[in-house]
Amino acid sequence: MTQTGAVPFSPIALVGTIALLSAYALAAWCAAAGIAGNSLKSRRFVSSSVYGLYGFNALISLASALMIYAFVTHDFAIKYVAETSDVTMPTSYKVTAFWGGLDGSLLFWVLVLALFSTVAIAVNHKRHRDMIGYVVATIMIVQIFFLSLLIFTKNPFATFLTTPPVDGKGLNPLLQNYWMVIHPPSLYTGFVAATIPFAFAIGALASGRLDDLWLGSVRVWMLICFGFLALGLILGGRWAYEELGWGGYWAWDPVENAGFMPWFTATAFLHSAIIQEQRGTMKIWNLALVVTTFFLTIFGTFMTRSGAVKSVHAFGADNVLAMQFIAFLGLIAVVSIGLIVYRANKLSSKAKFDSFMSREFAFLINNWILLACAFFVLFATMWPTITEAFGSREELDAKFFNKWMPTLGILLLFLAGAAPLLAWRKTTRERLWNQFLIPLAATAVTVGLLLVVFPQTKHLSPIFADKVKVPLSLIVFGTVAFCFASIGQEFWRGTAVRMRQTNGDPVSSMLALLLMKRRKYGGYIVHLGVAVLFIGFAGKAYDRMLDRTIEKPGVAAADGSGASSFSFGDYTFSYEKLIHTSDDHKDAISAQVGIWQDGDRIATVYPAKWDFHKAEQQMTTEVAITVRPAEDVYVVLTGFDLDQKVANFRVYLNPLILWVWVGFIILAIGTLICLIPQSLVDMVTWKPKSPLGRAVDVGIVAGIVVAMVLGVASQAHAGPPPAGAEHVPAGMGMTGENDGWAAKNRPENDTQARAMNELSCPCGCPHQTIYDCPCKTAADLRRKVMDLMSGTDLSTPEARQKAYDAVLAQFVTEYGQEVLSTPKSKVSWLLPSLAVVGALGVLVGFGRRWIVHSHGPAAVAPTADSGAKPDDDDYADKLEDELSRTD
Amino acid sequence: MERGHDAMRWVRLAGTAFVLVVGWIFVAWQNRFHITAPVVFACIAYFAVVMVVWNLWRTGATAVSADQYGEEAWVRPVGARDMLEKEKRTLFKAIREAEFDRDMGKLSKADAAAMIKTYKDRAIEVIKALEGAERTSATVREKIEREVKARVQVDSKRKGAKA
Repeated sequence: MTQTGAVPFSPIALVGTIALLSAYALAAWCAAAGIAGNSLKSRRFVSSSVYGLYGFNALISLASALMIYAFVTHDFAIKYVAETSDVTMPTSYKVTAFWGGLDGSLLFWVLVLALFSTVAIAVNHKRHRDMIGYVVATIMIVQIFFLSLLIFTKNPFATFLTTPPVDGKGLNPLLQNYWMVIHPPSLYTGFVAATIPFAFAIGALASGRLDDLWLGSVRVWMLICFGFLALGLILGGRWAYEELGWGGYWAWDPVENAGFMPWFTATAFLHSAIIQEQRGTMKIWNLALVVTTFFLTIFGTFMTRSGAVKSVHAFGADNVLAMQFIAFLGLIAVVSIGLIVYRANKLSSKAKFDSFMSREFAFLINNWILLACAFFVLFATMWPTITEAFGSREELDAKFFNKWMPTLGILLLFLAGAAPLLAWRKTTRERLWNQFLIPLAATAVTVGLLLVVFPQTKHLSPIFADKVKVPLSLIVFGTVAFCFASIGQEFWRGTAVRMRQTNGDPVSSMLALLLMKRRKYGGYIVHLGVAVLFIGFAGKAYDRMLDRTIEKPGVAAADGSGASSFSFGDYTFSYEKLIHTSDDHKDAISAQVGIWQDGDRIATVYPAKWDFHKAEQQMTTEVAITVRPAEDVYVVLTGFDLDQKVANFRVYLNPLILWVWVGFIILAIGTLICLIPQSLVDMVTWKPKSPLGRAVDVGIVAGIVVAMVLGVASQAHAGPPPAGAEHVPAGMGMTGENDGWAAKNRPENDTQARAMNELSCPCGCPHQTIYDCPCKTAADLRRKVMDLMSGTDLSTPEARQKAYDAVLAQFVTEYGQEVLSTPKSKVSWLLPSLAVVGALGVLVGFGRRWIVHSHGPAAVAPTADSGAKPDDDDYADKLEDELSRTD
Repeated sequence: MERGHDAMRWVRLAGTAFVLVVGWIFVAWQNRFHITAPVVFACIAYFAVVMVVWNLWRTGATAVSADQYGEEAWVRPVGARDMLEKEKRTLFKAIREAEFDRDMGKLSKADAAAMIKTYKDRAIEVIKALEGAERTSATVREKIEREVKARVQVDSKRKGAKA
């Protein structure tokens, strides 16, 4: 960086801005040449647009490399660099600061889309040359939109107009976590991957090539979208679990929901695309799903970057950006719907469903539930914004989602087990019994065993409304057992068939089955992963929390007991030391805590608080998690006094949470199996191949192995602090806004606890109630609840209800409706109910229309008269010959 | 996008690779061959610059190039033949899937047989239609080639029978 007088000058900023402007012009050329090329059937223009797209990728790569170069060389003349990094940050975080702020994240978005589109176009440009110009044009129009945001509104290369700072402000401490290194890129990659299917869908619509060829090309990209969104969501959950210190991993935060909505529709597409391939129907539906998925990715980006929703993760309000996104969303909707309507005659299909008891119908129901999930989450996420537009803002917290989503999730889980048991077209009654017998028996045995061995599984949880309670976790475990048995049976019977066909051994037959039908059996492994995830979700019903203040550390007895110890659940915790360490970047205050069970010391943990020098008012929580198959022991240091050695602890016992991470790993393995290319299968089966091709395959295998190794969930957190403690001022940590308050003003009776659980904390925490939230505001509001109830008669249920209502009324008067975690508006409850009922109505209506009530199998895609002569030996031989080459 | 027999292609590729390697060596030499994060990203940026120049040249050159292959012939027509090919593949998959479902016990033998028969009947129709389309769409050259191939096959069979 050099300076001319007082005005800073950065050559990096200059070249970076030129690269963005050049990319903008090139994108415009590519879009125009692509459209002209395909509409005029001009090879030159189409080829030019394709090469232009490669050049665009190079320009954006140049801009991105320069951006990161500016970070690692501390070019603080660039505003974005100064605002999101500082000199003392480790290099890895300087690199990730690239996407740590709004401006950089937009450039990162453009970069990922440029890289993906280069690969997609390079692979497909010959196969789809009659539509590839339109595909390039669509991608480039999306890029033009994001580039226009970058250039005109959020230029990451903008420089200071006056003397730049000597050092930067540093990255948000919450983002300085290894999960955050890979979580945002995963989510962005998932979002961006949805653009490729959308571009192919628009290309197919514009060119009129509406056969299934485009579908095959986009399925892989939708699978990548599905996989990366799942990875991003789970890594975000893991980050929240470790970094935010509230004991959970999912709070239905708008930013989390933004990634969840397209995941639902992408999953729906992956299933319905199979129906189109098998039955040649649902063309409009599949196009609509592709468009909806892309629309939701842009809508999610709009939600989190424009300030349309309030979230701890959102980038803040920006009305200009909001208007630009709304205009772009409108353009997507108009063009997509217009093209679908324009091509409607080519999209109609005559094939009907033969029976309700068919796999395609199960897939259709699955699609409806997934869509219901997507739109329910969309509706509930936007509800506060919608109500704000019409008057008072109403918040919908996690409890609202948790009353609806588990039911939909269990239905999906059941279908994940049931659909594989059904045959395409029709499953007769006796065959149905034959297929469902073992899974149903497994369900019955599991439920019976749980009732006897773990009676706590009878615990009732509310669904839909507070008064409707069911043993949710028992139902989940039963459905998981059904799914396990169903998938196990599929593998078992499939392997047996393969063994009979090839006279192979069980292991090689199963591996061959997995490779030859990798989409089907990879999908089953994904279903297994989802079932394991649900085991983790079910554990949520039994989690427990305890707050405890220990006056001073001490040495515990051999069994863990002592003056500095406390018990919770089956464990005893002994507070042994408070340690302070410091480095250039931060101060770290760690408590050494011993965990004991049945008189044995099972772990020593170090929950900590980190105070980053560049963000002194924002201490981060470094939780200590002891992972066990049955439950996580999760210890948080919520406050401390270094002079007095007083420490506040919050302990969560989180049952079965390990299975959430394990389930995701299984899901990822299943997704990778689905993505295995045919060339790799050919290599494994020793078909002749070029050395280069083999090298690529070996690279892919190595990549898969590395991805799997990296994907293994690790046990995180605050390890033992390094030696060499330094002095810090007394009382540190007890004066901060977020420290020590969790243990204060805890409820003295159930009525107070109930009221605290109903009131949202207005501090901006991720949808937490004042009962859970560890901030000062929550502690003050808890005190207020206790004061309001003090001296009130709580001897009878009626009196308790009256006191509870009075407290809520008082809070609503002072803070408005939005303070309630459960909205009182009937509309917010009525609309989802109507949506579900409406969806069921439409489902039944469509189902009745689609079902062909005939006993024999329906004709396949009756495009010509079925007049084949079975005795036509030549053709029959030819058919058998060609069929023998089909797996 | 078709490369054809462009003799200069390898010369251009080699020249680009040379410029790239020389640039990287220069960046490393400027930093006394200490490979640090800034050096790595400077090298990536230089690689991007070379790729920008290479692709911009291709973008422009292609747009103004003379038509070598015939513009109309280049864009694949949307024809019934592709639709028939796709239908054939779908039918074959459906037959295999029905056989697998039958062997796994999801379909009774009678149901599977009826279903497979329907698929096969339709598949034969599709194969016939495909052959018809091939006969009508073949160029004169293709027809002659096919005729020669058929005669060679007949001759070789005759020789085999005599032997």
